[in-house]
Amino acid sequence: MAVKAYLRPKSPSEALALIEGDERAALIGGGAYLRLASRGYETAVDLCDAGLDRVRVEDGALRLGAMVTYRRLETDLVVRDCSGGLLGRCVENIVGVQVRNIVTVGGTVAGRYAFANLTTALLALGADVVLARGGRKPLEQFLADKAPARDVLVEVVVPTAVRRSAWRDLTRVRSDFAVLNVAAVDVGGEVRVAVGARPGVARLARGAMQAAAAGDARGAGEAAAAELDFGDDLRASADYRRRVCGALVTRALEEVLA
Amino acid sequence: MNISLELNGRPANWDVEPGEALLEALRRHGVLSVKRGCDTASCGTCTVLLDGVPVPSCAVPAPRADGRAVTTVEGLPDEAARLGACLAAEGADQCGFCAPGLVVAVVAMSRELEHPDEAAINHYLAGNLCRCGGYVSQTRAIRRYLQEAR
Amino acid sequence: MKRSGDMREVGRSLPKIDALGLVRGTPAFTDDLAPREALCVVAVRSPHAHARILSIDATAALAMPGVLAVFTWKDVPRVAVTRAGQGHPEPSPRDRFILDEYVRHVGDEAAIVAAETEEQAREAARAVRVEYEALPPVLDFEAALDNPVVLHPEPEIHENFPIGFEPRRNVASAYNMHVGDVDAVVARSEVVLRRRYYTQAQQHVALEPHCACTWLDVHGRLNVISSTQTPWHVRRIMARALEREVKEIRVVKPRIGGGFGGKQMLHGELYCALATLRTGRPAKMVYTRREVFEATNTRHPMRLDVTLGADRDGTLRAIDLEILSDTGAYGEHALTVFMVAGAKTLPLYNKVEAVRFGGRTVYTNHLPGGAFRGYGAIQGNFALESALDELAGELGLDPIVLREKNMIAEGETSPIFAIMGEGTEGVEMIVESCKLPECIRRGKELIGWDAKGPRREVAPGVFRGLGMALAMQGSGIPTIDMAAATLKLNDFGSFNLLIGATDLGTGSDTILAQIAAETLGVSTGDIIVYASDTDRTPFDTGAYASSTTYVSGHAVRTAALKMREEILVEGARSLGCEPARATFDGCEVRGPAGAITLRDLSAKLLYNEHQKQLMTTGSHLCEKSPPPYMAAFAEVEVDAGTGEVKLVDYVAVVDCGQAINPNLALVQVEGGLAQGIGMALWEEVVYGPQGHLRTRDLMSYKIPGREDLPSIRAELVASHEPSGPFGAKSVGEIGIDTPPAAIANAVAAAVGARVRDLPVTPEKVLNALVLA
Repeated sequence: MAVKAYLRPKSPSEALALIEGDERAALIGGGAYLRLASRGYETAVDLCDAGLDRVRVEDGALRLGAMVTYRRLETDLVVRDCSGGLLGRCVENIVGVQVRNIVTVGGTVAGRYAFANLTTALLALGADVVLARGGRKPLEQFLADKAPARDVLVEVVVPTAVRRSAWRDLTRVRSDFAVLNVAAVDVGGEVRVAVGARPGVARLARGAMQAAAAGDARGAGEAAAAELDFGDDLRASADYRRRVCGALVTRALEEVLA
Repeated sequence: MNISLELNGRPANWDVEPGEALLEALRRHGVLSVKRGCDTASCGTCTVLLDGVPVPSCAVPAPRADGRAVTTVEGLPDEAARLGACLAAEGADQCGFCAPGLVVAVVAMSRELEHPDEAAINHYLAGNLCRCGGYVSQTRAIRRYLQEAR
Repeated sequence: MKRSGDMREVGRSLPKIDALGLVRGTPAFTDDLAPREALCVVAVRSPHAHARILSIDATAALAMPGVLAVFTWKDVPRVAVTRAGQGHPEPSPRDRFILDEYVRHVGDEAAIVAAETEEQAREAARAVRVEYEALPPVLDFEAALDNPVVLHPEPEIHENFPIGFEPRRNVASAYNMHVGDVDAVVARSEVVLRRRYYTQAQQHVALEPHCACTWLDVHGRLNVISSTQTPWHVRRIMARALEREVKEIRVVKPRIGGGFGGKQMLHGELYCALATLRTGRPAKMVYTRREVFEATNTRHPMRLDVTLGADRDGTLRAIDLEILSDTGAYGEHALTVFMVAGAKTLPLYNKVEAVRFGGRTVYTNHLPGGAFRGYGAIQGNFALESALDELAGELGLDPIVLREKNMIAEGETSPIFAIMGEGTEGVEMIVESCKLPECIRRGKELIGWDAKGPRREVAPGVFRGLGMALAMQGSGIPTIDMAAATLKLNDFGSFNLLIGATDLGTGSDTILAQIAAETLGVSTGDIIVYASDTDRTPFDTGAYASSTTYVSGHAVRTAALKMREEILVEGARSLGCEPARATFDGCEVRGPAGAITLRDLSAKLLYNEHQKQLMTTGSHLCEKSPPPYMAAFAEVEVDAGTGEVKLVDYVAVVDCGQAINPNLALVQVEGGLAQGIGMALWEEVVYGPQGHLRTRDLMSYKIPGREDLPSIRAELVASHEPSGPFGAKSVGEIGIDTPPAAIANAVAAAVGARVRDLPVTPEKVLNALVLA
C-alpha cells in the first residue's frame, strides 16, 4: 500500500477525527521507524503541527506533550528537576542525538514498545497518559490494554514529588536496546521499581517494592527476579535476564535507599 | 505533493511523494552529499539540519520539511573545508562515505555545546558510525577543528 | 634503496588526496555517478532457507507501471561461476549461476525486476509470484558433512583445480598438511592441551551498501561502475557468466565506501547487466541495508580444535589445528580462507617439531561465507592465541614469556611458508624483518603489564584483567598477486599515475602517489592519480590479501624508476650530453654544461624538440609475502555480578616495515582493531530456527560506536623489509587479528572465566564464572 496523502492536523481532536473510522490512516509521531513500518496505510497523519510539543508543570505534575522529543528530555531543565534526572538519563544513550531529536514521548508510549527505556522509567514514576478520546488513565493500565481503541495520545503526566531516582540498564553496545532495564524511584516516600526489556513491556515489580519499603535492596532484587516473567530473544536468554535482574534491581535500590 | 522549503539558504519548491523520506527527496533532487547507509536511522550518514537541528533524513518524512529549512554539507562549505583539513591532517578520513553526515553533526555540536571534552564529543556524535577507522584519529581531528574554530 | 632519513615524500603523513572532495560530499560513489535515467534493478528474494522454484508468474508484475523486465533462472545463461573476486582460474568452486532453479539461503535471488524507479521496482518485486517447494535446510554446520540433504546436486558445478570439492558430501573444499609426526611428538610432550573454540559469522558493514550500475556506450560495450575491490575479476567473471567476451566489458571502480573484503565478491553487477543488455537502458542496483545483511557474505564461522604439546619449561613441541568451516550456501573463498587460518598463524611458533593442519569447509543454508579482512587469520589467531594462554596457565608461566620462548625471529623461517599458500603451495621465505621483540617490549610498557599484574579488584565485584596476543599476516599472495602502474609525463612537469590498484577508502591512491613522487624526486602534489578502470589503467589483481602497498607499490616504484631513466635520456639529449653524465634531482636535469628544468623539458618534449610522449609502465609479481607482525594488549573490566565486559584500554604495536604514510598506516590499524573488537565482544550473525536471519539491520546487528571503544593506542615500530618498496610491508589486515584472543585472555585473567566461543558476551562470561 503506498502512502497517498500526508496530513498535518492542527490539533489532537483534528487528528482524532482523521484516524477515527479510517483503518488506512496512521499517526506519525517522531517518524523514526517510518521505513521499518510495513507501510500498511494510505494516509499519514503527522502530529508535528498539533501543538503537542509543550513541557509544563501544572498542579504538581509534569505534563509532557506527546511530541516532546527525547533530546528535550535530556536538555530541558524543568524535566530534569522534576524527575530527578531520570527521564533524561534513561534516553541519553539511545542511538544518537539525531534520532533523539525526532523520537517522541508519545510515539514511544503509544507504541507500547517492549524495549523502550522511557516506558520503564515512566512506569516507575507512576505516570498517567492522556488520550484525546479515552481521557486520562494510569500508564500501567494503558500498557495492559489488550485491544486499544484508535486514539491520539495527547500527553503524559508525571508526578513531580520525586525524591530520588536510579536508572540501570544493560546493553551490548551502548546505543543498543537494553537487554534489561530497571528504574527505581522514591516518589513522595513510596519506592517504586519497574523492569522492562525482559524482553516484554515494562512491569512494576511489586514484590521488590515491598522489600524496598522495608529497606531491603538485596531482598528486592531477589523478589523482582522471582516475580517477573523473562524471555529469550536475540540479545539474551530468559535465564540470563533473570540472573542479572536481581543485581540491577538491588543496585538501583541501593542508590535510591541510600 | 508539493512542498516549499529552504534548502541551504535558498528557496526550493519540490514535488515529493507523500510516503517518501527526506533523504530520498534530497537525493532525487541532486543533493548527493546525503548518503543512504542503513534505512533505520542507525548510522548517521544521512544527517541533515532541519531548522538547525540535526536529524536523520531517512527517518524524516519529506512532507514534514514543508515550510522548514534544510541544511546539508553543500550549505556548509567553509565548515566542511576546515573540518576536512583537520581530518586529513590527522589521517582520520578514510572512505568518506560517512563524512558529510559527520560534518553536519559536528557543526550542530559546535553550535550546541560550549566546550565539549572528549567524552562529550563522543556522546554527541555517538549516532555517527564509522567502520573504517577506530574513531581515535577522528576524535583528535574534531578536537583540533573545535579549537581552531574558537 | 633510500633509507628513511633521506626520504622526502615516503614516510610523511601527507593528507589523503581525495580528503576534501569527499568531506564536501562531492558526488563520487557509484550511486552518485549512476546515470539519472538508470532503471532500478531489484531482486525477488527467497523467504526459504532451501527451496526449489516450481514456477514464477511475472504477469502481474510486468503489467505494473514502469516495469520493463523480469528475469528468472530460465532467462539467463546457465554457466557455473564463482562470485569470489579471485585470480584466474579461481580457487573457489564454480558452484553458482546468475539465477538458479534452487535457492539456498533466505535472501537468495529468485528473480530480478527492472523498473523506472526504485519504488516501482520494489512494488513489482512484491507482485512476482514465486511458487516454492520448500526443502529441508542444513543449518548446523557440524551436521552438514554427508547429510542426506545435499545443497549442490547440479551437474555443471566444478572445481577449477583440486581443492577437495565433494558437493555430494556438502564439502566445498578440504585441505590437510603436516610437518613431522604430530601424534608422536604430542605423545612425548610433558604437557598436552586440547581445546575446542568457535568463531562466529561477522558482517562487514561497509557504510556504503553494495551498488553497481551499467550502461552501453557508443560502441555498444557494456560499461560497469561498481563498488568493488576487484574490477578485473569482476570483468572476467561477468564475461563468463553472461557468455560475452572480456573485451566487450569495461569495469570502473569509483570512490567506494569501505570494503573490508565484502566487496571482493560480485553482487549487483550481473543483474544490472541483464537489465541493460535486455533493454539497452542504463541500470543500477543499490542494495538496501537489509539486503546487504541478507544477501551478501559473512566471515566464515569455524570450529577449531587445537592440540598443543609442550614441555614443562615452556618449550612448545607440537601444534595440531583441525578446523571445520561453514561456507554457507556457496563456496566463495572457501578453501583460501580456510588455509589462511593456518598459513597466517602457525609460522608464528616456528620452533615446534611437528605441525598438523587440516579439515573441511562445508555447505549449509546460511549466507555464503566470503572474504573478510583477516580472512581466516583472525579465526586461527583466536584459537591459537587463546590456547597458548591456557597452556601458560597450566605451566604457571607468564603468557608473554611462553610466547617469547617460542616465537619466530628475524633470519628464521617456517616450513609452512613453502607448504601453504592461498589455494596452492606457498613459497620458501626467510623472515628478513620481524620486530616482535620490540613490539612486545613497547606494548608491555604502554599497557603497564608488569606494574598492574594480570588481575586487580577495582571495586567490590569488579575486576580488571590484562590479556595479550601476537599476530602475523602476509603481504600479498606470492606468485599470484600482480600489479602494474603507468606514469605519463605531462607538459609543464606533472605526471599522471595510472594504476589498477583499488583504493577502498584506505588511502592507497595517496600512498602510491607518494611512492611515485619519492622515486621520481618530485612532490606528491605533482602526481595525478587515476585508478581502477579496466579500459584505461593497467592491470591489478585488486585490493585484497594485504597486497596494495607491497605489490602495487612495487609496480609504481618500477614505473617511476623507468621514468627517471627516460627523463635522464631526454634531458641529456636536450643538454647535448651523454645520459651517463647527466643527473636528475626531480627538479632539473643537470649536465656538465648546464641544466634544464623538468617543467621546461616536459613542455619541449611535447611542443618543440624531439617531440615524444614519455610513458613508462612497471609491473610487479609478488614473489614472497613478508608478514607484518603485531603485539596487542587488552585491559578489561569485568562485572562479576552481570558478566559485563568493558574494554578499558587496547594497545597495539605493529611492525609493518617502513610506513609509507604513518597516519594512514595507523588508521588502518585502528580501524582493523575496532572491527576485531566488534567481533570479540558484540558482532554476531544470528539465524532463527528456519534459517531466517535475525540480525538484518543495524539495530539488531551492532557494530562498535565511538563510546564503545577505548581510546585505542596504536604505534608503529621502526622496521625495514628489504623486499618491500622503500622497506614497506602490508598493514591493511593485521590490525583485525588480535582482539578476540587478547580480550578473551584478559577476561580469563580478570575473573577466571574462559570463553571459547565468540563473541564474548556478558551471558557467556557469567556462565563461565559459575563454572569456574
